[in-house]
Amino acid sequence: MKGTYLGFTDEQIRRYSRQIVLPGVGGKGQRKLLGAKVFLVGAGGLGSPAAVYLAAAGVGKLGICDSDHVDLSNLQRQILHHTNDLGKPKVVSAAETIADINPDVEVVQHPVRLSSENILDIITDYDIVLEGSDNFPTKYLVNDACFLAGKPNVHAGIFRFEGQVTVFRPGKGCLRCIWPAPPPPGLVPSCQEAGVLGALPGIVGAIQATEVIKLILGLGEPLVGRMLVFDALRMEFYTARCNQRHDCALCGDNPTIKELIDYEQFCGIPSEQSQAGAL
Amino acid sequence: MRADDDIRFLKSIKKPITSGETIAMVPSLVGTPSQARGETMETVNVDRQINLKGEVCPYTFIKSLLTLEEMEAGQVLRVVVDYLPSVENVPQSLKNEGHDIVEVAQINDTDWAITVRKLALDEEE
Repeated sequence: MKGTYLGFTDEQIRRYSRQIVLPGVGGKGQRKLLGAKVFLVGAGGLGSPAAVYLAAAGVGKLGICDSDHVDLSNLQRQILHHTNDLGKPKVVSAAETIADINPDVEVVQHPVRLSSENILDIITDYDIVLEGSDNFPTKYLVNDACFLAGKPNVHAGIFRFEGQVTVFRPGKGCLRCIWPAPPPPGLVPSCQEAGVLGALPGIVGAIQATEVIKLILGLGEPLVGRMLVFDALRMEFYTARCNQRHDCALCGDNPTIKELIDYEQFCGIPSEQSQAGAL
Repeated sequence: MRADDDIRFLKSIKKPITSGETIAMVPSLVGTPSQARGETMETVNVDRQINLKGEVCPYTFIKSLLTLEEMEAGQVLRVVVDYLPSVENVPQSLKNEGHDIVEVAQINDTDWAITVRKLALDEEE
């Protein structure tokens, strides 16, 4: 039975059959996924599983931003990249892996460092941002840019054996409602120094992908106003409320932050490497 | 098991059914709304018919679902299949989705027709 059926190819009906049959998805939901545009900040530990699942689900356009190259120390957790990709730009390696998974997906490569100068121009083309960077300056930059641009930001962070995920929907809370400013330099060790269990970003990044898919489909209850915390050692999840704060400097009643800020890199590693990378 | 009974029931129907003859009904699958309305094939207006001969499960169900999505609530779809497990699975799955199975009927030696009315309540946002 070759050909198309109601706008789907037979191959697409087979590829997506297990999610088309899901309640609330159907052909309409699959079309929403195929028409969706998601921007991934970082093609590292979090961005890898997220990109793989979003691509497999048929999210039509994935923008991948990472200015780093594949390093041997990445491969313990960054499943978009393989041993024969060493030295390649991560966006290239990511695009090749995704093309192998699902040719329906268009990958837009952004081999750049995000800054106050370029981020708004880049994210304007996307519906949702998935934040998987490895440093606070980028996390705050993405947070502020998503609020100013009105884009949902599916945020996550990981550290050693613990991860956190939440969804910042503009006007419903942001990173600064929880932590008004980045921690001072030197307080938090980088992943290079602290280490990270490889499967941890796999779990957390897959949760981010789940939240993105829910947002696209309008299904369920996204993690808005809630932060999901995962402790791999105790193998426990719990959620903490994180409502919008009226005194938030970005999204509160009397905002003082009206422009993007490029914070200094302070991960204890040279800035050219740190912002480029992802967890 | 009820499902097994249905399949046995379906398999027991050997005689091809020609137009105008009594049509076989699968008791546990046929929706009560249709029965309550006293509908028969003579009174049901089929709005759309699809031929899914050559297709197997679960694609018979998925293509039926995709077609129903494009139809208005209350409209009737007739699905022709020739894969025996689909004769049970498609009506059951459509019923699970809340649609109203009007009739399941063997129409010749190899083919079956599943007649389904799209549920009135559209679950779409």
